[in-house]
Amino acid sequence: MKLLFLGTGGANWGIEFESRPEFFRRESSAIINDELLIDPGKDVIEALNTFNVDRKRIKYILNTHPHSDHLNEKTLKELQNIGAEFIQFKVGETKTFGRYTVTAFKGNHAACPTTHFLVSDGEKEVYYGLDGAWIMPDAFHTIIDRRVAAVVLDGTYGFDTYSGVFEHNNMGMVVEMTAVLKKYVGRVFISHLSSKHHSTHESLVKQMSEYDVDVAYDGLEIDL
Amino acid sequence: MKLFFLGTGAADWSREVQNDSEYRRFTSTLIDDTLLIDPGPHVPNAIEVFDKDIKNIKYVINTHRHSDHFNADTLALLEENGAEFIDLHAGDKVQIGKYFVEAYKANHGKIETVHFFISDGDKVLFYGLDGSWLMPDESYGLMKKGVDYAILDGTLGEKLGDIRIIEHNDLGMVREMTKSLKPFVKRFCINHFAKEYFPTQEVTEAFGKKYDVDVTRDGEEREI
Repeated sequence: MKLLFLGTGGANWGIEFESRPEFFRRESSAIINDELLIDPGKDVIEALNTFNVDRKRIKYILNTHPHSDHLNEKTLKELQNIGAEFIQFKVGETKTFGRYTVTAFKGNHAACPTTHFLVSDGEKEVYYGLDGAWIMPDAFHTIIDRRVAAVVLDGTYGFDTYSGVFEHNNMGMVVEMTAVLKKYVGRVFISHLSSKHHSTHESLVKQMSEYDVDVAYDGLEIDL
Repeated sequence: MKLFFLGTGAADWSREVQNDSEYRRFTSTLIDDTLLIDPGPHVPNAIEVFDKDIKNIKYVINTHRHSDHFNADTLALLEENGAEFIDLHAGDKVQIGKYFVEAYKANHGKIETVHFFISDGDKVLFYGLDGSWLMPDESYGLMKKGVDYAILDGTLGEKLGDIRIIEHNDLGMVREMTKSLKPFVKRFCINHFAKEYFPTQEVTEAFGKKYDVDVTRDGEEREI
């Protein structure tokens, strides 16, 4: 399975940061095997161009939740118009399409109905767990039982950031969960990082390597 | 509001009550001698040993049906002595004698579990066990209401990586949540101690100091 992070920022990042010379993040989105897109946000078309993904290859689109940084009608329409199919899920549903089997789990994201996805491409499995605080028991047990190849966690807030931790994770929570997850799963990534609550990417990478957590960045491509 | 801790242990303490000063009965709490939270199997023994009058207990409520928190024989005994069992579910708001009790959905694995906000018109108590990371409704309830005393699940110790964080808190989670909720809670307390991590009261109190939370022991009375 090829997992490509098209965007790794929280809602206060975005493509408009591109004009800045330093490191920036697009709104969070990821694509599997160049054909299954999770979250058609407003930055996705630009990201596909920048990271050399042929948008005509996208067959399926999933959406975690309707917040504007994860679902953009214009992006969705544009991709649907060239053949992608938008597949919607309710919590608990499993659907099979093409080589993929996807199960939707409840994300703990306050009042916003949010689904996290366990995606299998017939070879490997990845759990895409953002946005949301913590992992709910059904998902936690499934991730562990299935020994998934990778888990992507919400990494919105930093160390010593304590507001919003009942809708998103901070690094303390990521450390707590990872200590358990790493006994059972291949890799743990964080994405959906806030621009305001983290230090530089480099220093965060260094800090999180101590806990065996990979900090995603735009354009990061992983072969699982 | 007067709290009396009839039991303060998690389910790994022996079911047979031990004649040992470090022994903890299964967790159960009595409010003003009249409102009992969790009619577990050790409640009759605690009532006897701590010289409580069973006839003063007018109301019984229950967080969840795990066998260390709910025992049919205990409930029958309480009912024979005049207590009324009020079976509460998430979303319930009821007046019970002088207490206004609100039940919120908790995050405790597959079993339906509620946490309580209990107000006597003077003080407000949050009773948050058993459970892992707090759910959005109850955490925002804490922020909105502000409470005098919040009792959190403190089952697990500070060593990272215990899989039971899916259903209970460890001390790292307690640290993250208390820091987040500090502006809204006058004082925090942890309870429901696993024998594995809190073998003695001395160890338990040292953790209380380190994490700046109150701890409990069987037979202790606390005015809030």
